[in-house]
Amino acid sequence: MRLIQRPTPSPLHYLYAALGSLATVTAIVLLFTGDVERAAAAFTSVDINYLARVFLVVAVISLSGVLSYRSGIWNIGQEGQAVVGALAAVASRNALEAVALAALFSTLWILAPAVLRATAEVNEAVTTFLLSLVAIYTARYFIDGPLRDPAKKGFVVTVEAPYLDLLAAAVMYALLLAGIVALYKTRAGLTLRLLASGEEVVRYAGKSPRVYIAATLLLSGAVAGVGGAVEIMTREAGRYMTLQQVSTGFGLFGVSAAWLGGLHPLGAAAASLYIAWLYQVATNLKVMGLPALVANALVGSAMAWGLAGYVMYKYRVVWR
Amino acid sequence: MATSRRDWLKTVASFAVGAALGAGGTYAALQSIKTAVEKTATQTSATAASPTEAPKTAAGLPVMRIHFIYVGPIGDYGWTHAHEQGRRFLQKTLCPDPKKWCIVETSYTESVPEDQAYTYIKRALSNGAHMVFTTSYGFMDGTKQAASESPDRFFAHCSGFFKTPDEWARLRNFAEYFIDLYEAYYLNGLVAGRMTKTNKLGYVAAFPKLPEIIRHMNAFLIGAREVNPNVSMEVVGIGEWYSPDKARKAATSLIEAGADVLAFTEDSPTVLQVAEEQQKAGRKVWSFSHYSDMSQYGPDAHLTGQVVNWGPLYLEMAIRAYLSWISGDLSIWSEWPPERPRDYWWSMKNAYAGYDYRKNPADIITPLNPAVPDDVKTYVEKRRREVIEGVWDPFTGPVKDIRGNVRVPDRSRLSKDDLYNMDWYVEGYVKEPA
Repeated sequence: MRLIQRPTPSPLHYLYAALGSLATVTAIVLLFTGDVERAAAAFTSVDINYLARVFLVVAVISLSGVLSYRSGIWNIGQEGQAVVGALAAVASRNALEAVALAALFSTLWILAPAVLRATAEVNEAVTTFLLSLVAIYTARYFIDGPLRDPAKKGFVVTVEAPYLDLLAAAVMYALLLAGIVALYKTRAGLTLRLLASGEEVVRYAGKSPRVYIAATLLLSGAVAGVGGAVEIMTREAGRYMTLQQVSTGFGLFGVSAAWLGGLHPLGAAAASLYIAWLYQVATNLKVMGLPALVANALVGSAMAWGLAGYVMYKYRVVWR
Repeated sequence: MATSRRDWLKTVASFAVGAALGAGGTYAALQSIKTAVEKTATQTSATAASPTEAPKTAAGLPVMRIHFIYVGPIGDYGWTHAHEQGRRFLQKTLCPDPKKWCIVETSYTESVPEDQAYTYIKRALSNGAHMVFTTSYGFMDGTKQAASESPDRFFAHCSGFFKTPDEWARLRNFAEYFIDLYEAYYLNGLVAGRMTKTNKLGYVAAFPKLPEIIRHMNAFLIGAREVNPNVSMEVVGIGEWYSPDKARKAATSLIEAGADVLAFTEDSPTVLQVAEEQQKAGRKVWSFSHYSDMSQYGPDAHLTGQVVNWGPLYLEMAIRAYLSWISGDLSIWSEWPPERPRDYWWSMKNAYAGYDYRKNPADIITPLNPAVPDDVKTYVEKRRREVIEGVWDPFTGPVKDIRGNVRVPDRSRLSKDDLYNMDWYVEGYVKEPA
C-alpha cells in the first residue's frame, strides 16, 4: 500500500471524515445502549453550560494545533502546555493576570523545543511530547510545594484559580479566533503558511525559516497555555489541581479538533463544537452506566477520523 | 515516489492512532459485554425527590435511588473496585428481592474526571437520584456545592473534611466518610518485623507525600520496629495510583537493595506478584494484600494484608438517609451517629467481632499465612484485640520522627486531625521519602 500525493487536494474528504466519524459514533452508541430510545436520549440531552465550557476549552487549544500544523510544525505537547497554563492561572490573583501569565509561562515552556528545532533541527514532535510528561511532574512539584493550599489541611491540593465567566471566556476566544484569521491575511501569516511547503520556499521568499519556525512554536504554545488556564478557571467547582489529577485530556481533544477542522481556524471551531458534543454524549453514556472506556473511545475515534480526513485530503491510497 | 520524513511521520502517526483505537475498541467491547451481562438493574426516568412520589415496592415501601460516582474504572482490584463491592453489598442487603421488598435502587458512573464531579452529580440528580456518594478527594467541592443547592437530597463524600464547624452546621444533608487502614498496616508491620531475615523492608508508595500514605508507612514501620528494632525501611514512590510497570521496577530495585518484605500502597497486585516470583525462584521474599484480597496473585508470598469493605458503612449511611427521607426528619441523618455526626471515620475498631473478613464484613485484615510462626500470630492477635478495645494505638508515645525529635510525647496519642494531616516520618527510614 502506498500513499500518492494528489495533484490538487480534495477538501471533500473532510466531509467524508466527519460523516464517517458520525457513523462510527452512532454505531457505537446504538451497540452499547441496545435500543433506539436510549440512544436518542444519549444524543439529545445536552447541558448548555457544560457544552459551552468544553467547547471553549477545546476550541482555544485547537487554535494552538492549527497554528502549528498549518505551518507543517508538529507541536503535540498541547496537554503539557495547558498544564503549565493552568498552573499559572492557579498562581494568579485575577482572571486577566491568569491569562497573561498562562500565555507567558507556556511560551517559556515551549521555548526550548522551539530553539532546538530552529537551530539544531531537533524533532519538535519528540521534544514537545516529552515536555508534556515533564509538565506533569513539574505541576506535581508546585502542587506539593509553592502552590499548596495550607487551608486544605493534609490534602495535597493547590490554592484555587480565579473564576472566569463563560461569557468572558467566549469573548476572549472570539478575539483570539479573529486575531488568528487576521494573522493569516498578513504577510507574516502568509509566510507562516508557506513554511508548510518547506523551509526552502520560505528562504526563497526572502525570510528566515528559523525565525518563523520558532515563532510558530511559541505562538502555538502560548495559545495552548491560555486554553489550560480557561479550563481551570471556568470550572463550576474545584478550581484547583490535585496530585492525582494534573492532566485533563483536553489538549488531545484540541489536537483532534484541529485536524478534523481541516487546519482552518473556523473549521477547527466547528470541529470543536462537534467534539464538545461528543464529549457530552460520552458523559451521557457514562451516566447511563455504560463502561467509561466506550465513552473515551467515542472522542478518540473522532481524532482518528480527523487524521484520516487530512491524509485523504492530500493523498490517494494505492493498494499495491 | 519519494516520501519525505514528515509525510512518513504523518502516515505512521495516523496508523499508530488507528491501531491503538482498534485495540482499545476491542477491549471496550469485551468489557461492556461483560458489564451488560452482569447488569440487571434498569433505569427509570422519574425525578421526584419526595418519598410519596417515588416508585413503590410490592410491600408499599418507597424506593430510594442511590447513585455512586467513581473516579476510576471498576476493574478487578483497587480503590474503585472496592467501592463497587460496597455498592453491591448495599444493593444486595436492602434489595434482596426486587419483586417482594427492595428499598434502594443503586446505579453508578465510573471514570469521572475530578474536575467534573459537579456536572455528573447534577446529571444524576436530574435522573432521579435521591442520594449521591462520591468517592474521590477531588470530588469534594463539587459535592458540597450540589448539596447546598439541593437540600432535599442526601450527599456523602469519601476522604474529605469539613473546612469549618460552620460549614458542617450549614450542610446538613452532606456527610464525609472514610475507612482508615493504618491499624492494619501496623499489624502487618509486626509480621514483617519478625519475618525479615535481612532487616530491610521495602515500601512501594503511589505518592509518598500524601498524608494517608505517610500514615500507612509510619504505622507499618512502627509495627516492624516494635518487634525488631534493627529494621530499616526504604521507600520508592511511583507517582501513580495504578502503574504495574513502575510498581514492578520499584519492587525489583528494593529487592536488589536487600529488602525481603515489601509493603505497598498503590492500586495493583504487582508487588505481591514480584514477591511470588522470588519465592518460586527459592528466595524468601514476602508481601501483602492491599485493598482487596490479593492472595490469589501470590499464594506463597502473601503474609497478610488489609482489605476494605465499604459495604457496612454504605449500609449504615443509606439506612439513616432512608429513615430520614421517609419520615421527613432530617436529624436522623444529620445528628447521628452521636459521637461524630456526618463525619464517619471507620477503622479496625469498627470490626469488633471475628478475625476473618469472609465471616465479618467489617473486618479490614486478611488471615495470616501459615508460614508465620505461632508466637507471632498470638502477638498479632493480642495487639489486634487491644486496638479494637481502644487500649492501644500504633501512634502511642513516645514516637520520634526521622530527625530524632519527639513528635508524640510519652503516653500521648494523636488526634484525628494529627493523623489526617500527618506530614512527618518516624524513625527507621533509610532516607526521607521523596
